[in-house]
Amino acid sequence: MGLRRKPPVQRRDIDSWTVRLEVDEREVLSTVMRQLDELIEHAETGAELSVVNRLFPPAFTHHESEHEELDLEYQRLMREELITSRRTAITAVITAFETAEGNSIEMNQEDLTSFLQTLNALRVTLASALSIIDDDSAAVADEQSEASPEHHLYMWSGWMLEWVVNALAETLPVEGGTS
Amino acid sequence: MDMWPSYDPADAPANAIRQTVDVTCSSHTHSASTDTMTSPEVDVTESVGYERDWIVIVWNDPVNLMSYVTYVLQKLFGYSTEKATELMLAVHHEGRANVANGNREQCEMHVFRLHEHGLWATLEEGN
Repeated sequence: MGLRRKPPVQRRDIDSWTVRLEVDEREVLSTVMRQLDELIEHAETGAELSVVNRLFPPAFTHHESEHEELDLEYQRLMREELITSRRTAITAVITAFETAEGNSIEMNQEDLTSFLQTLNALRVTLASALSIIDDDSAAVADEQSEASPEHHLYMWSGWMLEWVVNALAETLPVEGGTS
Repeated sequence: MDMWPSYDPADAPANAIRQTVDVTCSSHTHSASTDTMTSPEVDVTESVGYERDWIVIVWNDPVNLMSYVTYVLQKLFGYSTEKATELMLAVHHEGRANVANGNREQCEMHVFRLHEHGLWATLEEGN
């Protein structure tokens, strides 16, 4: 008889979930999240590190030169706020990891949302590092999931992200009902 | 958009990430792409009755999961699962979808929220 793994994300009550990660998994993730935080912090100082550029896409479709000017103005006003938002989410996840008991981390909805956004930011950044730029290169990455630690983490983060999405989807309002 | 990673959880996530990972390892350049979802924080269907001449576009990308994009659209705009899925599929198959409209200020805020969630979104003037 095979052992049944507990789901990695499981709701406990209305505003509490258990995220299951082994100690070494948390250590690796924490290290990588700190690296990501550092990259984003450098982005704040104006250093254009291409690996995180996708986290700061243009806001205006550039049909005309006027839109480029609007985009520059938007970035001037909003980029720092976006950086702060991302770094706040990373800090929330690392803090939650530090409160873990055994393999279980208790998270409220705000923490879990931070985990969602950070996992996705990590995945987007890894995609840049792995040159995943279109569906074809994404398919190649799928086939090379054993190729490198970065490929492993890219695939794993997608797997975990799916669990977090499913968990948070339960918090969306019930459609066509009043409950 | 990534339908779903072919990662096998039976291998245990620990085995997948125990190795040393360095997200700064590469100097490759990137090319943008994105998607999103939500809970009804913004009423886009009843938004503004004036200057309704800007639209918010979500663009296809190879990274964001389809389920993630659907969730973000539900969360941010309060769309039903059916509507959010329809928009997500438009992004996936047609390369882009108009997910909201309004005046420029409103659309800039929508784009910001979408960027917070890692989706590739832009605003442009509507026809």
